[in-house]
Amino acid sequence: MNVVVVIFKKIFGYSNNKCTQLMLTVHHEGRAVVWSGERERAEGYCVKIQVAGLQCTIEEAA
Amino acid sequence: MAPRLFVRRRDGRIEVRLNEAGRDVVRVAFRRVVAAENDLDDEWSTTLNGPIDPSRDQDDPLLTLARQHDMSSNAELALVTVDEPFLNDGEAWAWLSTLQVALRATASAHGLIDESRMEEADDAVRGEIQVLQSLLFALADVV
Repeated sequence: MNVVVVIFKKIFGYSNNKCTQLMLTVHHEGRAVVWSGERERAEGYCVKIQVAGLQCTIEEAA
Repeated sequence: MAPRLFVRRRDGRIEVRLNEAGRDVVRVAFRRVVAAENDLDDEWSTTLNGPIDPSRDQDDPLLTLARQHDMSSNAELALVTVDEPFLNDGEAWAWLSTLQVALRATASAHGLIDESRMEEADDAVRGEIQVLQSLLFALADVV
């Protein structure tokens, strides 16, 4: 099992509460939008998340 | 500067610097997870499984069972090592996993599924969550 809450903290540096909320969203919905912004940075984050053992995709904002 | 709760020593072990009150918090959380794993009626029971991965579960139900077994082992290992002055990497990982389960179960059991509800929660619940977060992230810094 991945400690997703820690992965979010280390990669994004989010607050404890934000990491906790993302963890809950992933748990209940199976996925969560963890970051949005420039495509290049999103790709960098995506690689880091995948290296940490989580699944990650980049989607264009609606 | 706040004292560090967990310290990585030169021999590779992780020193646990929790006082008795801190150990009690962790012990209660670990006991609660182990109890919930063995009681389907426990309110934490529904939040014990790992992150949802429907495709994987459908493709390989045995993998789901293995995952559940791992989690059970993690919580039990965490509980039996709760009074240890030092943890090895495997034990520290079990603590981390179990603390995450306890954090998720506590937040879910109180319906704190978004930030606004978290802010509106009563002080006792918010305090409980903040303590679990502090322990989890302090340990994550040295693992």
